[in-house]
Amino acid sequence: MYLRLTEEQRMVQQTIRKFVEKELMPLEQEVLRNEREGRTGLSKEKLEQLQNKAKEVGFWGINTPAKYGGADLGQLMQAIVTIEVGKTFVPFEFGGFADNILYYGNEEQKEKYLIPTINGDKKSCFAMTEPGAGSDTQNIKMTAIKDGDSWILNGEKTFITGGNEADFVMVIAITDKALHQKSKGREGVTCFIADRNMGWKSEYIHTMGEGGPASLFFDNVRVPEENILGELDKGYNLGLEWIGFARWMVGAKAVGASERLLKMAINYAKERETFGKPIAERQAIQWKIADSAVEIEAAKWLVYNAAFTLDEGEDNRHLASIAKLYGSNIGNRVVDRVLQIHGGMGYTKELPIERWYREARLWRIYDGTDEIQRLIISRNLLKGHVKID
Amino acid sequence: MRTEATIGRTFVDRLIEEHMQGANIVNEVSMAKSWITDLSQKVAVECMQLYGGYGYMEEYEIARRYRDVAVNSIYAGTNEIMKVIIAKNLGL
Repeated sequence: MYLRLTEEQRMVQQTIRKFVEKELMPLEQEVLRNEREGRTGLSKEKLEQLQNKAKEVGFWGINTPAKYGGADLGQLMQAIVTIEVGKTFVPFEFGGFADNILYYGNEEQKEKYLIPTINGDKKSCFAMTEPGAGSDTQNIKMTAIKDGDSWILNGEKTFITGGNEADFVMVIAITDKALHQKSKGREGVTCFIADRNMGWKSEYIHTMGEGGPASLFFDNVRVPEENILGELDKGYNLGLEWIGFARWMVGAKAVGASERLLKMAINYAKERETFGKPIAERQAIQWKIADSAVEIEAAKWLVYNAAFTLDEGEDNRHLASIAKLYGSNIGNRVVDRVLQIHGGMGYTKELPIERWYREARLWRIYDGTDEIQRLIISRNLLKGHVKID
Repeated sequence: MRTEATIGRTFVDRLIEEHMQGANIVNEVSMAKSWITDLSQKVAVECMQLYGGYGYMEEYEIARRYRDVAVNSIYAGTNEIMKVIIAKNLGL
């Protein structure tokens, strides 16, 4: 066992860190101001500008297969990059990637949807959740009825990340009601690729955080048969794969944010004096700092391990749930302590801490709530899918 | 949650009565302030989690409540200061 990053991984880490510090962090005040005044944090032009800069440094499609023009650096590298980018709240991602399930498309679908998504010419979203169905997919109500050589989609989807901006959606609908009921939701649903101009509408959902998700409305939307992604009635497996594949990335994001926040707290604790000495000399503050450091370190290795396991070609879903559950929870605890250390200043919008405080709450909800992660972890153990050595 | 909220309410009610009688309750007030404001954050977190994704939407009051209670442990003397007062009055 070799518990060190390789030379290459450290180099990438340093390069990304420099990029984040030089290109992204200086934009933080602008992002806060934009968001406060009801605009998106980064304008479309600004984001493209930044992505072009990133492209020049060679970070385009970090995890995308080389065959599709990506850098193909693997999951652990993706974790390292996500942690570094997580150190700022500037809403930026290195472009050049596509949803994992789009790779299951046939050659025509790849040409029409996958390649333009990787190139950044089209934006995608994935829609499974409905007002009455989240991780409990057997409660899905959206229907697709066959009509000639196309399908008519009706229903509503909600909490769809990227749904406001997407040019097309990969949407899960019931195609065989009897089969869907008999199989408790595991069969009889199909994944369709539906372009926005086929007639679905989106509506912005205001959340406690910034850059909210969308509700999608399908009112007799006609989708051609050739837009079925994967197999008819087998959409459930695609859905599972989409949801589970990057769960641990939430943990990585939380680790990055926590590291930055802890750094802020350390600096502030040394500056701020009460009753004649810096609060850094008070044990109440010291313990908050120590507890945060311990939890961040543990979460970081859980994230690395989940990513590393996937790079080794093994099933990492159990470890991914553990990393997601722990990372998102310590993220919430760290931001709470850091806000407390900053006192009244931490509660103001002058500092970005309150923004992270609001965002962090989402980490424990999306990509499977805490409770769903616990369900998965315990079920794996109780049913013997995973054994304690 | 119901049990702890009831304990908090009972504590505050008693302090109001004692305060009206003119008793010195500085120590107990510091205890009540820190314990109950910490409790309000804990309860807000739990209740929000019960709502799932809806709890994160501003359309539901719980999101607003969650943001509001965050300041309780900070203003009117942080909860760390409350503990300093309690410890001092215990003779430390």
